[in-house]
Amino acid sequence: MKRLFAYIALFVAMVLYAISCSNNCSERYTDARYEGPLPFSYDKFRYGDLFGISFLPEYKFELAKEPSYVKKQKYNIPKEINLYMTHDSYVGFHLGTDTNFYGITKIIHKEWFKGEPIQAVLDSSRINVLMFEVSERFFRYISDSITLKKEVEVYKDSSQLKQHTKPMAEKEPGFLKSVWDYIFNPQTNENLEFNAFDYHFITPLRELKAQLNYKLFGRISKEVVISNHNDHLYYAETIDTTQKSSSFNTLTEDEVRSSIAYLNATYKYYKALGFDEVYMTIVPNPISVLCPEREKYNELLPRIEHDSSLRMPMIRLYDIYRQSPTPVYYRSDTHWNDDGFTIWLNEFHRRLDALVKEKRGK
Amino acid sequence: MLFNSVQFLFFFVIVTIIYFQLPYKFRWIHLLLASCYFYMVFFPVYILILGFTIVIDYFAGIYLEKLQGKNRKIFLILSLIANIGVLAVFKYYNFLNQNLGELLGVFGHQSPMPVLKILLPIGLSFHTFQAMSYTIEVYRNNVRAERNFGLYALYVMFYPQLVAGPIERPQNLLPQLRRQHDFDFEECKAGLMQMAFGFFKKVVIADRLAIVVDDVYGNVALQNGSTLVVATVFYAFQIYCDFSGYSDIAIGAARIMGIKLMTNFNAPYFSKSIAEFWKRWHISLSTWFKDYLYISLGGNRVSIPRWYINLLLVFLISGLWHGANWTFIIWGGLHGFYMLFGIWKNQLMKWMKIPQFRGFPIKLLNILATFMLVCFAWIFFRATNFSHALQIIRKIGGISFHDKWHFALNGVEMWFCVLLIVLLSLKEKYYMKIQTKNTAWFFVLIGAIAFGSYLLGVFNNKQFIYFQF
Repeated sequence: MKRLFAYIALFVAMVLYAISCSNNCSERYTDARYEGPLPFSYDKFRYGDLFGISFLPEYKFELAKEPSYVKKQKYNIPKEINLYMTHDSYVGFHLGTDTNFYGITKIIHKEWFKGEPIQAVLDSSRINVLMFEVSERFFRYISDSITLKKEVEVYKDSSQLKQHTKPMAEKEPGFLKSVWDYIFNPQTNENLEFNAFDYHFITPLRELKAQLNYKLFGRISKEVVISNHNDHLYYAETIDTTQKSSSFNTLTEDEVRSSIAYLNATYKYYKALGFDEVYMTIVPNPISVLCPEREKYNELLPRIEHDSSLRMPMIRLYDIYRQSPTPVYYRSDTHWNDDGFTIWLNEFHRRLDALVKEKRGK
Repeated sequence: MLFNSVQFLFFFVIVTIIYFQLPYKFRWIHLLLASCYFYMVFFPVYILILGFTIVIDYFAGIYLEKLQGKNRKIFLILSLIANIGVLAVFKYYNFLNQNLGELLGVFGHQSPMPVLKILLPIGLSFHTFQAMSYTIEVYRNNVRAERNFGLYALYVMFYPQLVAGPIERPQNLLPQLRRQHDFDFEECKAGLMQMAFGFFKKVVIADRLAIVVDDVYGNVALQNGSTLVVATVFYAFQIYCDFSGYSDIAIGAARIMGIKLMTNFNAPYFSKSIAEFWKRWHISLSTWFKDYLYISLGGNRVSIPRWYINLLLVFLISGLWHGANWTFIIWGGLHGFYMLFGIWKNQLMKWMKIPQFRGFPIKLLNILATFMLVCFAWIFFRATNFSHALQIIRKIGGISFHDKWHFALNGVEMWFCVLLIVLLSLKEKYYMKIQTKNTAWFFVLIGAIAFGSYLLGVFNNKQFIYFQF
């Protein structure tokens, strides 16, 4: 009996360890679990990413697996637009279905910080639109560290594209290097934590721990903050006044000026490269919309978006979100809900519609 | 690989089960490979440093056994220089360079030596001392040189005690590595229980107290005297639970495989004097210094001034062993002075013919006085630099009844910390062994400790304090 138990334990431990040493295998295992029976699925994102960090049962609201856009407005935009987009997880989640967009013939997109720049060959028979979507908490990092001018590379024709090869350092690693990276993968522990302990059937235990720590010791995960009225979870870094991602971190007038100058230069650069229009949208931090009075809001969005010297066309959300009678954010997630996304989509379509009409008029 | 990580849990299960499934003659190879992997998970390239000292000491051991007369001493010295040289480069070079620079700066010069941008290999002081212990014991003819290179490498690298001890002696560990160990369920239960309790001490007590200590010591300017006193007392228990928790996990893990490592802690905060404290705290290190340095210097069989110097020197070096910082040296020096005062106090009492009272109130008084002295020294150990420590002491000097407490934990959790400390102290005081004989009772208890550790544990992947040494 002891021997049988030992063999079972050894087998399970070895399989999980072997999977966790590889990020690729872990991802596949995660996907398989998501599709598999509920008890063995995971709850990291099922009830919102902030629930997945805090496990506070008071904030356990299941997010819809399939998004619905009931408030989406109908626009009759002819299919003439090539859309190039750099975005984060806000828009990223909704890019699964191309049917979200009107008038788009193709979308070429990438996430910030990931992969190589977009390589664009602008088709002069189409309307070429470039879109930058970034959440408020990342905006100051992007305008600081990333040169927006490096996000998209424009080529005259596709033959130039083929010449663009990966640098040596990014080539596929050899066999030995792959084995080494597998054995000494620095993410093994993180993968194991997820693969071994993040199961739906374990969630009640995690909730019990979270509840105990919260009710008894008043302590929750450091990454999460509860709203003043106990109805929302916020991402702590959007509130922590010491961090640049925070809505309450001091923003100097000089910084605003330099951000605007930077956006204007970016706009001018891409227009010169041949884009018909370049847009930017900064998705507000939930705290900026729902409770800016929690501390002193640095007014990043109003100060940038309403500045008369700004040349970059903005898809503005802040004022609309502030006035929205219905919630635009999830209560247990950092992201906008489907209504929040639909508001952005409607605004974006309105601008595209106007752009197409303007171009047609020409 | 951290003991308080999920990765270690899996690693331990896999390595231990395979260990008992393998034929005896392959077990040491399996343990050696597992130990290499365990160490390389931290930073793979540093295995080369470990390999370098292992090769040097392996051959040094063989030659020390073969050679006679003066040559033996030369080989011993060469081996010690190689070991201490590695320590000097990786641990002390930048410290010495910085101090040299400051000294030369007084005369308007700069240090001619460059600053090295190197990371300190984890547990360097531990395995270096264990390796040195081997060559010294071979030199003293207390142990035969190990011919099997792999077994010798395993002696230095045995994973449970590789990065934070206990610092083993070759007489104890090498024969056990050669011996055949059959699976013993009773030993397995006892080992698992010790590991579970060590884990509990680390994640429930040490890492919880660390929240208070890190917050207070991280913002000393904002603190008042009484807050700093509480944080210092908490630190005393944090470092104890952190380090003894590590030792428990190490000893328990080895015990399951049939290998008995030396005891490293024995209720140190119940010591009635500093001398007793050092017989109960980090026993493997204090006995190392006693056996290999203090006695080599002549111990107490020399003139009285020389004896005092020997004592002080050993403690100063012990402080330096902990880290390349003046705060550690002062910490060691303080303990050296405590020892001297203890000796003088005893001599004075003898001379004045004051009888030694042994009643409970005197014992309690001695325990409290010793604990306070130890806590005072911990201030230097925990402070980031000397002026930081002085600032803390000045603030504690200005303690007042009107001081208001502001801690990173709420009132309930602060009291919970106190309760944990009291329960731990009671367990230590009365040497309560956690029962493992009855298997059903064992499963209930270990389940309760594991469940309690999960529910009440603070999981922030915080390293063990002694890893940095």
